[in-house]
Amino acid sequence: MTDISDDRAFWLQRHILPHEGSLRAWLSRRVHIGFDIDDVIQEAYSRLVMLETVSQITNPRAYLFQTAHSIILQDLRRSRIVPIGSIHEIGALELEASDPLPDQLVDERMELEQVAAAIEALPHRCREVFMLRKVQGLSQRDVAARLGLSESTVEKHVANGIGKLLDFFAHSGKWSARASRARKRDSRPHEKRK
Amino acid sequence: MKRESSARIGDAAARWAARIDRAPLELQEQAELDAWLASDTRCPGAFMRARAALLRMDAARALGPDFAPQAPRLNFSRRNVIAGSGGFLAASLGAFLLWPRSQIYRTETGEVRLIPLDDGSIATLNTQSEMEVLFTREKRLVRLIRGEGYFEVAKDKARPFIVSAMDAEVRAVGTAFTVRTLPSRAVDVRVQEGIVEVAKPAHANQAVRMAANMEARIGDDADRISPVAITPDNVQRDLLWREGRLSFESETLANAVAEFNRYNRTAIILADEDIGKRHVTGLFSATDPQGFAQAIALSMDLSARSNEKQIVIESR
Repeated sequence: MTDISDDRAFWLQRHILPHEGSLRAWLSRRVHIGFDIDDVIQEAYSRLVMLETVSQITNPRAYLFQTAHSIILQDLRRSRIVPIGSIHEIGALELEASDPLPDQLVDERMELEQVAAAIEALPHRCREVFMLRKVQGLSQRDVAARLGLSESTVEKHVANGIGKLLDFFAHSGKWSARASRARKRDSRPHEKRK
Repeated sequence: MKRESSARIGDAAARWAARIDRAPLELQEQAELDAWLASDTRCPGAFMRARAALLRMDAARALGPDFAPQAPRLNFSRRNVIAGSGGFLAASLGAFLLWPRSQIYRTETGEVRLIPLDDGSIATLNTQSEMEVLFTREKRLVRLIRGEGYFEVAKDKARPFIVSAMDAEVRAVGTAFTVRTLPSRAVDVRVQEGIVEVAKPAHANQAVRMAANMEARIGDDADRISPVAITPDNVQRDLLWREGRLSFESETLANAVAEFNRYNRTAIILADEDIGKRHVTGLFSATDPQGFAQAIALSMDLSARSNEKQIVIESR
């Protein structure tokens, strides 16, 4: 089980993680009350992890969307949730009807800005740990020595930071769910005298 | 066994990723990790997602040793700023108002707008709608000029909340209901909560009471208003437009298409009437006529042709 390789983790961060925000936005537009989007996301990663090889995947973004979609269909069939009307009939069709955009190469500069912004968004102590671990490239043990903390405390900060980073990547920046949900709110009420 | 929440799995995954980032696992830990990974189908995904996040931060090396993170940026979302200035505007206007003055609100095609009213009530205007609001000391008057509105009315016994549309008047104290003008010049009223009174102004003495989960159609043909019961499911489904979704339950395709066309500039056209008699069930994104047309075409073995202005659904 734990031969889950570093290669796969690298592939995920390069080709999947950047699309997670738009997958979430897409899901929240199409998926219905009663669904936990986080469940779907975790399952989707699981399937990508279980694949024998990913070399045949030419469009990871589309593949990710497809995977999430099939998970939802499966859940509907198992009826873990109660669908409104018979969504499953239509659910089977919807993806074909709305092809996700082709894979977009992640812009290196944007990527770096995103990473910097993610570090800045971390709580103070956690940020210090990440600065040393990731910007300076120290090991956790060296980080602990530098900050005068125990190794297990540093590990806790790293774990805490991972959670925060994932939230950050999932809900902000270029791949934001918010941006694509933005609505026109241009018109102010027109006033009129009675 | 109780299903673990995705949040807890995510936390455990982050702990394991952090542990592995510290040093190679001991044999015992390796066994624990394997057991955990096998405990739920979401675990391997959550674990690798956490590792991916950590790996992604390796890019931070490129920031260089001089990188000095700024304190977390204050998150002034655009919406907050607009809401803030709007509130200020409303407050200063309030002080300025010496006589009642009405306000007109309208929505464009495909736009759904939430409008907080001065009394604490909330009106949600659906696509292509327009309403005039006038609050006086005795009454809260809303005139639905066209389209559809959902009204969540703040309780105020001294000032009834009255929505008028065409030939109908709906009076509420504290409740939630939808009023919609129909192309046939009839008005459709649905009550989601509480009780309202519906009347034609010309026959105000014949007001009819409607409770939650009831619907009435007020046209100029019938002189009696006869509310009918609808299921709570239907009532909720009807309100999905507030989230940008349309739901149909055995609706004729003709009606479903007409509904879609309210929300989009790209018109869907049915090539012949017979197609329109088929039935459609499903939940769709209101602003994606293309997706709807293609789903319909696929499920009914029809074809959907589109250009910039319209989508034609026809037999193969």
